[in-house]
Amino acid sequence: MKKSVVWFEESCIKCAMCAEEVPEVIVFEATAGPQLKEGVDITPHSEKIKRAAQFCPKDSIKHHL
Amino acid sequence: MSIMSNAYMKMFPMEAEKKVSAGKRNPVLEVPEFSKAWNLYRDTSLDIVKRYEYMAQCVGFTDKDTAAIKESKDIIAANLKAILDHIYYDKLINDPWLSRWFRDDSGKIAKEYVDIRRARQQRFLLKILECKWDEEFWNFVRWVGAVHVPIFGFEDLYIPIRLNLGLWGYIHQYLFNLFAQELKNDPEKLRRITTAWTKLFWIIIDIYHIDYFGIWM
Ligand code: HEM
Repeated sequence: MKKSVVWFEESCIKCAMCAEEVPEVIVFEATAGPQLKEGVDITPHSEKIKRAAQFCPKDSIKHHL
Repeated sequence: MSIMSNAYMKMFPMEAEKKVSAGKRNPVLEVPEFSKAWNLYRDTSLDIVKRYEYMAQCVGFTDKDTAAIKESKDIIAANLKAILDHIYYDKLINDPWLSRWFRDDSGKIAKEYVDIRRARQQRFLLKILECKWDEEFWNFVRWVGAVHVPIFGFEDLYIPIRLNLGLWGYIHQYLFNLFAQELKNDPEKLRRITTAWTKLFWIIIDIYHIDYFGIWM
């Protein structure tokens, strides 16, 4: 089975909306920006992650879901 | 009952009570029409979806209008960046009063902050275009409005209502000019789309401003 992955690209402007859209998976840190929460299975949240990626103003959220 | 209505009931338990006259008798309170109107008032105050449904029937917003909003998606999507640029770079940061909220401590326009605000506005527009008129969406609209008044974590922020109305008016006319431009060869489609957006704007403007007023408004 294909493994689900999510990552953030440099272009991020730190608007924090992704962490608001998928708080189960993404946490926002003021200096580091969005981070994936450790040890969370992202598969059940894939629809929300895709939606967050759609809202991302800089197209910085990349994923294989 | 929704989460919001439960929370509301805790704040305003009297809303759940049947309205009966006490002390000085008021015969009007016994008239069935009054009771119906009272129930409508109470339900639409308690439940944001009911408020939307009531407002939708007032302005005649139907599935046909939702279909017309969906029809307008392509035009908005193709012009999204230009629309946001007009709101932020032409209007908000240039107007002497509006721009007050987009400056840093030295009085200069805070460019990074403006970009973030613009991104948040983009999400707002995209959520509208999803056309899901459910509790989650209307609570989001209410929350966006509430951000502009000093409650819930934004205690030091107050945007006077006239500025909101001015900006809504600005966005409204900007969108309509865009539709008129793009649909100049299809007046029937232009009519459908501008009619639908006019109705939707008024419903959104109502829900957006819930926290600006007492519940009786
Ligand atoms: C058409 C009317 C307006 C709309 C649709 C609108 C939309 C929004 C949205 C979507 C947010 C962000 C909510 C979020 O955090 O995602 C927001 C926050 C804000 N808006 Fe507005 N807004 C309007 C009017 C105004 C006006 C007239 C001003 C002032 C000139 C203003 C200043 C602000 C400020 C200062 C914030 C808070 C920003 C922060 O979190 O630092 N808004 N608005």
